[in-house]
Amino acid sequence: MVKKLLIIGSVAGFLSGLLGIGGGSITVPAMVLWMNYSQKEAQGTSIFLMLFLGIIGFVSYSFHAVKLDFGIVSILTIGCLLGAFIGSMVAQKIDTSSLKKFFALYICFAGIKIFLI
Amino acid sequence: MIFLTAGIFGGFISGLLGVGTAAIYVPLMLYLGFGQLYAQSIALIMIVPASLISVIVYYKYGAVKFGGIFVLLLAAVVGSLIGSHLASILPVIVLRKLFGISMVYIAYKIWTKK
Repeated sequence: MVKKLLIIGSVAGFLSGLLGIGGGSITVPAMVLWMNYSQKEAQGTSIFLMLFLGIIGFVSYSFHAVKLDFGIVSILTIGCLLGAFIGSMVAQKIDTSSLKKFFALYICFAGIKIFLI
Repeated sequence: MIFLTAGIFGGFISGLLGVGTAAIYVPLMLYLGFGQLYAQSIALIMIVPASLISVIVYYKYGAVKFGGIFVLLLAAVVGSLIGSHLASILPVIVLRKLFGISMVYIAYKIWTKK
């Protein structure tokens, strides 16, 4: 299991560094298809990983910051907290099959976008 | 109001699907008339609140697997450092096309997985 996680982490990190692709689009499918995690477990574990990577990104970003409007960032953050709470609650309540289909649609859309840009 | 709605929408998708915020916030901020760098900075910042709240909810419902998580984290950090260093050497555009196609195939596999 550790070997598989090592491979998933390296590939996800490598591709996100190289192509600027978010890690979750790689780690979630890899955990579901290769490690037999349930869709929810794969998403929860990926989010945990994202939190750490997000903090690292945030800290390194703050060294060469773009001037951002504090008011806009605050409103977005409030919205984001609220939205993330609702979204993750919905993810716990809906059945796995529907969640999987939503996820597949998202990945398909993201794939087309990456291909076109 | 528009920023609050944008914030809610981005957070919602991120929490629902367990994915990063960049794919949502970057196009949203560009649509609202901000520049690419500004949009990317916003997306980078929003990962923290989105994943913080989501991880609490997923954890409460027992959907976070901690086994080997630090191996995953370390591998991801090292991988990303290597990836960003090689970005100037490797044919990134070709790789993006290949990866885009792979993602559509992965979507099909997830859709059809029992």
